[in-house]
Amino acid sequence: MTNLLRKSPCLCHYVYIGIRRQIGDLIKALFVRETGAGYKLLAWFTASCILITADAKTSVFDSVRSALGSVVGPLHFVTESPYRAAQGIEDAFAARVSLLGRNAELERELVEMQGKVLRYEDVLNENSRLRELFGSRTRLRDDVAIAEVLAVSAAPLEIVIDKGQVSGVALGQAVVDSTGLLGQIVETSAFTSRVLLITDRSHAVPVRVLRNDVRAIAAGTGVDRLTLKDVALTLDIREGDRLVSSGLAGRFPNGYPVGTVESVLRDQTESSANIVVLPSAALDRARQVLVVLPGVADADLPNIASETAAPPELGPQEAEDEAPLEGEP
Amino acid sequence: MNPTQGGWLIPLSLLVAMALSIARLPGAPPEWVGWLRPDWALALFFYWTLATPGRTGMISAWLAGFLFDALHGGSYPFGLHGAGFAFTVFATSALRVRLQMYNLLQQAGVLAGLALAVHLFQALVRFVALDVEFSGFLPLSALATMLVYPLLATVLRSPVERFAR
Repeated sequence: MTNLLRKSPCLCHYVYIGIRRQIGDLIKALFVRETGAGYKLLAWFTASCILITADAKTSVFDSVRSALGSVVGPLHFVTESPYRAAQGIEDAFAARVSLLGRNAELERELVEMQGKVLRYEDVLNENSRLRELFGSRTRLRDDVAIAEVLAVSAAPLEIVIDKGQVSGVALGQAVVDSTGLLGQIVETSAFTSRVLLITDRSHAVPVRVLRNDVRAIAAGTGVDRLTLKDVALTLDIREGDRLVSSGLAGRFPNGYPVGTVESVLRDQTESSANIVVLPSAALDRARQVLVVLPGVADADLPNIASETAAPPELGPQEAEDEAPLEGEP
Repeated sequence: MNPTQGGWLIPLSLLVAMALSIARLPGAPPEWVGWLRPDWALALFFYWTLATPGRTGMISAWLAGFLFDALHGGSYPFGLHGAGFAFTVFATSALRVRLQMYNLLQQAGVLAGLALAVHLFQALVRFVALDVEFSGFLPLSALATMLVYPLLATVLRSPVERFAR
């Protein structure tokens, strides 16, 4: 025991001497030795700093990054391949009984969905007739591309998907999963793209409350929640309210579920309410996502731009809502 | 017999390091587990500078960094990986004479110090440029790099003795 006690300061001493020697040698190499290595390091360091600043503050390197990303992007497929192989093996050995059961379940779901689609078509027609009455043009119908998640990153909150420029994916397109809005495309290369999630701290999405069309901005918090920014204390937003994208900034399409209000805290000493929103999309679990490609005007429906049917009661909300979507006033 | 003298070994090992830097674990592990990912590329540059002096220079390390930046997308500004690699190569060649006398565990200790310095620098730059928050788990990555280094050096020893000397 005493031996150990006597030894431990010695050990610390050796570690201390070791570190001091390394750092001393480094400093010597930097400033004393006439090798020029220190100058070289300084040069590269300066070049790096300039590059880093230029890349963070401007977009001059986006094309270089995209080109290099096309070269190294396929590595994502390599690292994902064990999981795909495991899935393939699982599928190959799935029992016949369970497959039959699953098939029956899917067929039942299909019938249910077809029923819903019938009603959807009906509602779509009715909607377009009503819009005709109001004199506004029909809303855009969105096309989607199915993509698989290849990788996730924590800071910033991003996912990498297996569709790129080749599949028509472009900057700024919205990404959704089966339950709600997931994020937007922030970087594309030939075969892969990066999606910034709506919960990232740098992200904000314009939303409206489904119940009463109150508008707000839902900002990411960096964890699995959103927060509503600068909401007046008197505004009618309650716990359990469902929020959908409002399409106001023109970036996200109108009407996709964003989240549900989890808690509302109105502190009278503060100027705005503290509202926490639980996102509806499975942000940390989604494996398959949909990229919303630029919508095409629906050909089946008449393109209404007649002056005869002047909008009698078009609220300001509606007017604002339509303008960015259509791309022209 | 061997015209390139095993020159392909270094790019190949870096390619593997790139794949390992984006590989994910199955399921959704807790956050600190993600920080236990060793910085394979840093360990490789440390190893190659010691094992085959003159083969890896600061310029090539800096250029290789761009590929890592592109692979990690917007979460790393352009040039950040390269700055870390170039510093590693510089520091390792400055300390080479002493490091070559050290055993693997001592080398791993020095590597942990270098990795920690590089990671702190990168975290600082990402905080300033991209507003990415510091994480208390940051030293875990340097620790993991230290733990895998003896394994890495042992695995690479036989191909290096065969081709690259």
